[in-house]
Amino acid sequence: MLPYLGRRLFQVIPTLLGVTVVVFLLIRVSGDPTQLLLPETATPEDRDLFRRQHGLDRPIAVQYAHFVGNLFRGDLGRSLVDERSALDAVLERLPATIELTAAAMLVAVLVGIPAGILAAVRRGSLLDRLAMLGALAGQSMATFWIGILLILLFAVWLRWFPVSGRDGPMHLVLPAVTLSLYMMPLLARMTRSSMLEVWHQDFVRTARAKGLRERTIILRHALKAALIPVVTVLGLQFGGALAGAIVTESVFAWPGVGTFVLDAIYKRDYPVVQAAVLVVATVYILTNLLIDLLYVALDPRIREP
Amino acid sequence: MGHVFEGTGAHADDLAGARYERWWRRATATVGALVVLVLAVGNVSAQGNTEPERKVALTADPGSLDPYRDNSVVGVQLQGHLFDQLVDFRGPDFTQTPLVAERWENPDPTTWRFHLRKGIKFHDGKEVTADDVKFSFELAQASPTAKAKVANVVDVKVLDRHTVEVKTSGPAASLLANLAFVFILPKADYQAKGAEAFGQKPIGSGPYRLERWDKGQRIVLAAFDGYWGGKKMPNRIVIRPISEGSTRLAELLTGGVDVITDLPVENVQQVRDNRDLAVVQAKGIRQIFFPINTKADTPLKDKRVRQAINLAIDRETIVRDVLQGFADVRTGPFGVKQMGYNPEAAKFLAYNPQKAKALLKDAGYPNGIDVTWNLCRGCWLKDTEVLEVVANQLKAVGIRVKINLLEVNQLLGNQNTANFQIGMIRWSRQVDSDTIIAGIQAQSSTQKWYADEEVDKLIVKGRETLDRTAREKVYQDLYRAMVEDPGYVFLHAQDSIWGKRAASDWNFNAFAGNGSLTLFFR
Repeated sequence: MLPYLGRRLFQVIPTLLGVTVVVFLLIRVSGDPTQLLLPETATPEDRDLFRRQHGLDRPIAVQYAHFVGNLFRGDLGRSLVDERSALDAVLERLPATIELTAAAMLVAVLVGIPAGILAAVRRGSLLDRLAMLGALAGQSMATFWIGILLILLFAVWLRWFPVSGRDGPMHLVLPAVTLSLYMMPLLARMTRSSMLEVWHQDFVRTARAKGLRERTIILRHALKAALIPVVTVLGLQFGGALAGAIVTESVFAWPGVGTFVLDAIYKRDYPVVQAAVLVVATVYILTNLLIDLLYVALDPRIREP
Repeated sequence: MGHVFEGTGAHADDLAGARYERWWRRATATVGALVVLVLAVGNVSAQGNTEPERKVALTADPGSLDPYRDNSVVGVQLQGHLFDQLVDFRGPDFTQTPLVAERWENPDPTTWRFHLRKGIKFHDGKEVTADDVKFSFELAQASPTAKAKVANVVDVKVLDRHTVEVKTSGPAASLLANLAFVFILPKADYQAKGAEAFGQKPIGSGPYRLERWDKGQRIVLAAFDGYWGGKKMPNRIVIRPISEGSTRLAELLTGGVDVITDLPVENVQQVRDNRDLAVVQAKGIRQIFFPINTKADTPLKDKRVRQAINLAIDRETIVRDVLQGFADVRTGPFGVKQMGYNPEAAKFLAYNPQKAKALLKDAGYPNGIDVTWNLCRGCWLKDTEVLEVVANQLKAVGIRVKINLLEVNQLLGNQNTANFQIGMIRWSRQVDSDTIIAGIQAQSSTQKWYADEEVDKLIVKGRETLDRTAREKVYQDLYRAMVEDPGYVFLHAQDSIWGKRAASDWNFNAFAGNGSLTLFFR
């Protein structure tokens, strides 16, 4: 187990370096920060001076080498807008995003997996059809639209929850549900098909032959085997959830990395965008590592090469 | 970086445009319809508002509260509470309002001697002195975004604890207007904290002090007991960054906030129909100019073609039908109330499609022309809708417009490299005609898309003419020159539309000379 973990952790480094190359190039290709950061009264000389001051006039390879050099010292540069440490600014916003994403995943798991199990166990029933129809509907609706809809219904009309912001658990409900609707459908469908697959396998038949209760068969035997692909999907969905969080955060004025990085991209605040992508990528990679470990726990075959 | 240069600002419209794809817009429209539905059901009662604390939803959280680092629209709106300037221009008519400077005189045309009010305190209790003023000028001069405001200041001298002398390179008629952007910062505190920390925990001598800042969540301002102008109401202002227009409206509907910025035009009627809410508008706050590249090898080189474009646009219809009245028509560089408005010259480019057709024919284009017009979605009020109507109107006289959709950064970048045919400049309403012209002409003349010797001469003359009557005449001449040989498509200046709880006594009298607004004014 430990060598496996060590190997996986070591693999994180090249992955992150790859991420830095992509984000570094993409953000630079997409536009010049002097357009929006400097006033229109700025002369071409002012713009050149700004670029020189921030090292943006150097060849891109030199800029990258400089960036990576600093990266290993834990320095991700300073915002071009307010000259704050980019890493500090991102880390300040990270807890809110993690909170939202984790809550959304929890909701998705708590609703999506049972829905998938029920749909599989009662295949063809009205319940199955309803669940799958709901999943289809959930998958087709835009997060943005769902968010506003939930605000109108539960905050403006029924007044059960606050509209926006982050001030305690009540504020978390609507954004978490909104974001969970992004992940839930796939999770439910995946659980359903995976359950159906194991449902007719020998070990399930054996369990049934032993005279075990239906519930025990489902939860102890079938589900455990069926969960492996579901867990994989869950890890991948987490990345999608982080992306979905950008939309959800702006609809609910949730003070996370999403709204923050959007603003930075808009202004071409290179260091902040780089720091945010790098931090989010790290979170994503670590989460997937965690999920892979979970995988190992679920499927002993993976442990031994 | 006091001035609200709109290109730098993270304005709500801009962000929306950058953020949301077309389908989002459609979604918003659908949601708008649903809002109406919900309201029709009529369960929108909310508690009255208590004014000791006012909650305001703006579009974004500033990065820093240091005026010489963050000059976004939101940044300036907040800075106006924390800091004072030497002088400001307040209210709908921009009344000159002495703040830190009690009075001033000109010993000669290039010298301004400012006498500071005695006993003004920063939030830490220390007195505001001439050293702080000099220090603030130095910060402005070193700031990439504010330096244009003090470009003609060559020297700042401290004469005594309460007297500062400012020397300009030439007579500077717009100096005071530009000083509305120069906030006075405490030298000692700034130097002790360092620039970065100061921007996060600033103190100033303004009517409000920063009580709390939860990043991305809220900024709490508390009325400063020791304010030289007397303590302001409300006692506290809570500012929340909410980028999404529908969400701001929902917060207003539920009483979560008392005042919201940038109320979507689509929602104006429903806010008006709700007796708990009110619409507040500031006329003609954002001027939208469309620069024409007159130097590239296109039909736009010919001034008759540029006149024809201007003449073919029925601005009244656009303002009435598309913008629902939330804009002022412009047929030249200045609005009716601005210095230099020239009523005669204002008729020159007024709607006249026959004349437009004739001019095109004269210019040798009887079969019309093709032009490309750059647009960034969400950059100004109803931009896409307005431009589509403009394109239709131009088509009627034979000018075929290709709307070229760009991201704002790209649009401005193309302008800076003169790679465009018709572009866009946004500029906040300004106190002084010189600052308007400086803003829109700076790019044009450095990039040479539009350089007119007479225009350039008049700009300098206007800046250097101190006598008000003579100066008015200069700008009227400038107006004429700029419409006779137009380097822009003149269209409109749009309003700023806000929503508030009817019970809140906040109003727009609050406009300050730096395009900011002050949320404390009654």
